[in-house]
Amino acid sequence: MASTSSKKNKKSNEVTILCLKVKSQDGEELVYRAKPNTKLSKLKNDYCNRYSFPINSIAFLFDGRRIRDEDTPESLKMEDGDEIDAMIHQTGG
Amino acid sequence: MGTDGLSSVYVSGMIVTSALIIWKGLMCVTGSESPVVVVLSGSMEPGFKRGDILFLHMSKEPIRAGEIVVFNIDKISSSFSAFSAAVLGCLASDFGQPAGPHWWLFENCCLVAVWGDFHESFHCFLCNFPAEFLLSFGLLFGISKWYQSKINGSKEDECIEICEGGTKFGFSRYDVKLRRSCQHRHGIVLYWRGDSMHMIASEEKDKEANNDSHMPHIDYDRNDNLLEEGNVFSMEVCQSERKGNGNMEDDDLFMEDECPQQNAIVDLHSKIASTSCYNSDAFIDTEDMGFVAKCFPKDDNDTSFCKLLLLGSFMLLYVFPGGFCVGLLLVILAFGVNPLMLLSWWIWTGAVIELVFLLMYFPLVLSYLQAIALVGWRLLWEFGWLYGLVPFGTGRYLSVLVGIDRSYTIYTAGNIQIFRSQIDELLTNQYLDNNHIDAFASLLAEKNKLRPGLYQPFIYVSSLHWGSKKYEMESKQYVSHINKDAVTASNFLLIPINDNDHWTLMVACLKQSTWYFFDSLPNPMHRAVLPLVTNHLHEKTQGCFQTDIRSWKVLEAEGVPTQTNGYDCGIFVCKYMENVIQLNSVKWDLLMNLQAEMPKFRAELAFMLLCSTLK
Repeated sequence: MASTSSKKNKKSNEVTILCLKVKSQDGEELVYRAKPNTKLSKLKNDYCNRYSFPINSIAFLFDGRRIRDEDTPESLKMEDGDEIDAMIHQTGG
Repeated sequence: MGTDGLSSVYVSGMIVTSALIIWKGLMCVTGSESPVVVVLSGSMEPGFKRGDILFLHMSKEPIRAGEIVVFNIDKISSSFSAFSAAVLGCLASDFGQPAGPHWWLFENCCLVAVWGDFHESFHCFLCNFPAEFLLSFGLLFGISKWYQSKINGSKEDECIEICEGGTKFGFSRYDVKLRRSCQHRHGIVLYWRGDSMHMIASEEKDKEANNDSHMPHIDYDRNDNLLEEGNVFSMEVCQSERKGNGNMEDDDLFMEDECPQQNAIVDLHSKIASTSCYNSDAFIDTEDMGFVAKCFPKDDNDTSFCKLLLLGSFMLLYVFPGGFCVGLLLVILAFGVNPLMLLSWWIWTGAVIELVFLLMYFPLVLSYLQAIALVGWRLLWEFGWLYGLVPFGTGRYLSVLVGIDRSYTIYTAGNIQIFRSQIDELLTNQYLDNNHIDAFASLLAEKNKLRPGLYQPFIYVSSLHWGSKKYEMESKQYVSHINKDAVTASNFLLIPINDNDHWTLMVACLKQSTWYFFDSLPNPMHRAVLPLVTNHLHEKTQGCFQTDIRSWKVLEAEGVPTQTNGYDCGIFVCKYMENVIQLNSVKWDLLMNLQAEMPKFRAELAFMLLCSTLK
């Protein structure tokens, strides 16, 4: 019992910081360092602010899946160096 | 004894007057005639529960979509005319109807749904939907006895009686019949406009009624087409007879005795072109509609009325004792009132008495107010943060009228995410993006699942499949649902294409191995992208199709309605998709005025998204 809890502690004590690349449609890359439990919506907010996109006009895709606001690198099993696609919605009239 | 009696009378008088003062003061501050209301029924659940205290305010700003409006019955007719925007609402009312959402379409394009029981006021949910969009939903409505009697001043028992006919597809449907001639069951009242009544033809046609020579015959419209269930028609109310017969007869709008047949003409002018969508295929459950009320709170920090109530009691307990003690002393000094008695009063109405003291001892008012304001603000800050509230300055938590935030997620499914702002885009004639179109397709699929056989089986490929190829992104997941079995089971493959800010649609008739290309803004330039799209699809779906999809003929869809403005192509693509997969082959020539109906379809899509998210 004690050993497992200490293991857990050990694990949580290890500060793993992931580097996540956000790739835009023109191939531009921006690297974020994020903790595994950082909400990815934070990244998105920052990304949109940086490039002054309206936040609703962009979708973050990981392996082709839309990243939801509550997702974290942990929940999506992201690894160091993984790439996130920032996709601007296609609009048309 | 005498002093005691006098003082108790005095105190109770003070309570009454001070309650009045507080009430009037609140009215001034909030601009609302009834600043505090208590939810009496469970009709707004889960948004508001029974017994919740709502603080209302009324600002001069126009009422926006997403706000809750509370209004009282006397003012209702004038309120309605004030809403130039359509109202999609949930009201609490009690017309002897069972609880549940009831939908109404009012005169000036207002749609109101009635929820549950009726108590003095009712609430509704506002949306900027044009009235007509409802018709396309094929929703079946009733018009209330109450509303009718409001308009016509008629007596209840002589009005049209509306009885519920079951809730087959979610929405309550009503049959209309007259009390005096119960066999009159032609349709479902949609709304009144002037002297005509617009109805949807009822599913169950009463044969007796049709045989009755006195009854207007409505099985056929003026073109002798058979009226089908869900078609919209209107009846005109006999004017001359109404004028001739005084008040009593005014009420009997549909009494054939008073309205000779030649006058009670049924005018069936409003059969609308694309009848396909007029069938009652509303696929939204009544339960889901209940959640419309849930949309209001933006998130967890938003107004919670229970919290507000708690804050109120904090105020009573902590803010007023100080002021009260001084007031008590003053009263004791001045009148020799039994302090214990006052204390018991205070327990009940602490704040009220306090205010009265303030008013009585006017010279001290300013300093009192100062002290109370200081302590009050202090406590507000302290406890306000606790409860996620901010002080009055921002005006947020006095307000019940909370709009849906622009970044509030309205609908989500798979890779689709629709924000409130995208709903606005839909309703304000802006460009559609791939989320809208994907969402529309997913709604179609959902609809087909709910009512199998509504559409022919189809496969949808998101425009992102081709779009992600352009940007060298992973695109496998957009075609993961395509396999041999799916292809053989389906008749159509729908691929919307976004190229150069224009939406077009490619449809593959899988059985005929042909591509059809739909372009609402016909231009040969728009075809340039097609080989690329098919190539890309071929690469990703090798082996799924029996023949090479690249070698299929590409035909231009001819005779399809086209757009006349610069922003509707997205919604045109949606409509093409919907019409192509209809069971019966589409007659495009009947849909030539599709452009005129686009605002309606936009609203319809917005409404569907709003509702289906709530599942």
